Amino acid sequence: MNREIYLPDGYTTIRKIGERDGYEVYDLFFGPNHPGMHGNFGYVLDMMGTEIVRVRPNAGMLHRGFEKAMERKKWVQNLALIPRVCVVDPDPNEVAYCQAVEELLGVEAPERARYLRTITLERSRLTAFLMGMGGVGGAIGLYSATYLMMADRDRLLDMFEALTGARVYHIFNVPGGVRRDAPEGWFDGVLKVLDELESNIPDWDKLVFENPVVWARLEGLAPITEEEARRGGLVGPNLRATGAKFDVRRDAPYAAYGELDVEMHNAGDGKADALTRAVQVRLEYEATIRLIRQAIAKAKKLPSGPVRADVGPLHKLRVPKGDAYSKVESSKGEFGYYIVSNGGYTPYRVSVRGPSMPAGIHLAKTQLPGVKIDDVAAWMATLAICSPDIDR
Amino acid sequence: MTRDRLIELAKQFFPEDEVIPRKKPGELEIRTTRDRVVGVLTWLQNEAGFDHLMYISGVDWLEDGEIELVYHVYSYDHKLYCMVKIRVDRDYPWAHTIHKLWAHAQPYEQEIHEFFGVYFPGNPDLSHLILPPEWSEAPPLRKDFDPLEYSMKLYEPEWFKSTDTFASIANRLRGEEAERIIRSVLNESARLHGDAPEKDGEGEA
Repeated sequence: MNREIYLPDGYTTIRKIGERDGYEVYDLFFGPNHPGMHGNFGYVLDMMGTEIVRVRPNAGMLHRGFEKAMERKKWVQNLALIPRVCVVDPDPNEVAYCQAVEELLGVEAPERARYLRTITLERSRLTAFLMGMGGVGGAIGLYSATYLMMADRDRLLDMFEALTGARVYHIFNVPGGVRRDAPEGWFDGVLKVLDELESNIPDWDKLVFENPVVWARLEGLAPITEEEARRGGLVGPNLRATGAKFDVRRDAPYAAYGELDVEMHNAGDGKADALTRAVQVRLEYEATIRLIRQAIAKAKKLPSGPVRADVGPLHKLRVPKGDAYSKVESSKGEFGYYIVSNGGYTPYRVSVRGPSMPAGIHLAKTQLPGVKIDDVAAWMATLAICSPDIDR
Repeated sequence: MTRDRLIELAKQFFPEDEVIPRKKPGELEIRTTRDRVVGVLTWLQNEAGFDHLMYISGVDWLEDGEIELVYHVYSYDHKLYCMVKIRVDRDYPWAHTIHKLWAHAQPYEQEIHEFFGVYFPGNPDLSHLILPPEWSEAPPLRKDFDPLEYSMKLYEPEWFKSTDTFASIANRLRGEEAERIIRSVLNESARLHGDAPEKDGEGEA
């Protein structure tokens, strides 16, 4: 039976491609509307039975033209666009952009601002990890994990609201520092939330990481060696899961990370499968809570002072000619901003390096063939593929 | 390897290229040409230990008539960051593919082809990744592509008539024609609500 359906000209149609070993080969749209898909992204899979034969990434449904839009807006107006590049982990974008602008301006954020940045970055990482760990459950049908961890994430968002007035897109960083100092009692509030999060960890272990169903589904799925990950552009937890000891926070410290002890955890040794990558996130989740405690202990002792370096009126900000590349470690790995200025009121070019592109586009094409259709969602969840930073 | 040693070696190997230390410690920049860039990157990857290709950025320099490609590479072992820059002609833009060096350069080059119109002969897939396949305008990240103009062309002026807000946007953008549209909207609303349309040049009483 040859089926041609509903899509306009020029788009791929769902059709029978061929026959092999008595099976018909069809192409199947995985996403953009699929419970296992994160955001408006998709793969067109050539299927033989339940096995994938070929993968074509179907990106672009979330393309909002940010890089072009940033060239038309003033330096400070761009701060409203930037967190939207990565929805679940917005703060690394703000910090990377602000750091690149600060480098061009030749100013440095005050100490208090650097600590506040560190604490917001790490809390943003926790929210993304909670979504990621819940996503692993969601991808294999264990929806309780998604729902329960979302409740924990909400507690963190409450503390974001207390600090910045916003829950998801905080727009807290500005070139030169942060918008405002922490309100009184805020640090203690964060510590209280962290205690709650920590007390929940044994439950998450029982629910997800010690669950025999999760082990059965993830063990041995899509293994990657350390060499492949290093050369293949994988970053962050995906890279560290293979045993590589690289972390932007340790290798090229920014904000206040130079003064803190950032722990290094490796779930695997030389090789990582989907289970190892999931466990890696769980290890880093616990380490992040400890890191925030460490940062807050130091921030509390800081003398009060400015939280923003003087760069003049922000709406009239002009950045000297030049270019700068700034990178931060987000929950998914290295987030980079390459900014070119020609001395005007707007950037000449902003180029965003998202962590998801090498895995989401290139690795999908090489690794997914041979995998069963029901493992695709788990594969995406453990590699933390985030479509907004592929499309931008 | 320190940065100074690397700069020294790079100058020895590539005497024709500019090797410049950047402001931040641990950062350097190599300005080279299209013909030598694959050599430079191969040397960086295999001999100097730069095993991480972070990104390839494109920058359109309209006034110079050139498109700049910036290869961001990083060495995990030496903790050094290197920016390799080349410039290609804007009217006939092409560059050598490096997907044999780093396999994930393929989607990066595909993206630059899509958004800047630079060809990479040898890249296995230069189809549109993000833009719709029927896109026939100029590559959108080039400086001479104006998204506002494109939107005005795509969405017909009739569409702007539907509300006052869109009419006021059109007014700002299109001068006399928009004035006509606004007037027709005002007339229409006057007809519906029974108010007299405002006259030109008269203030409120």
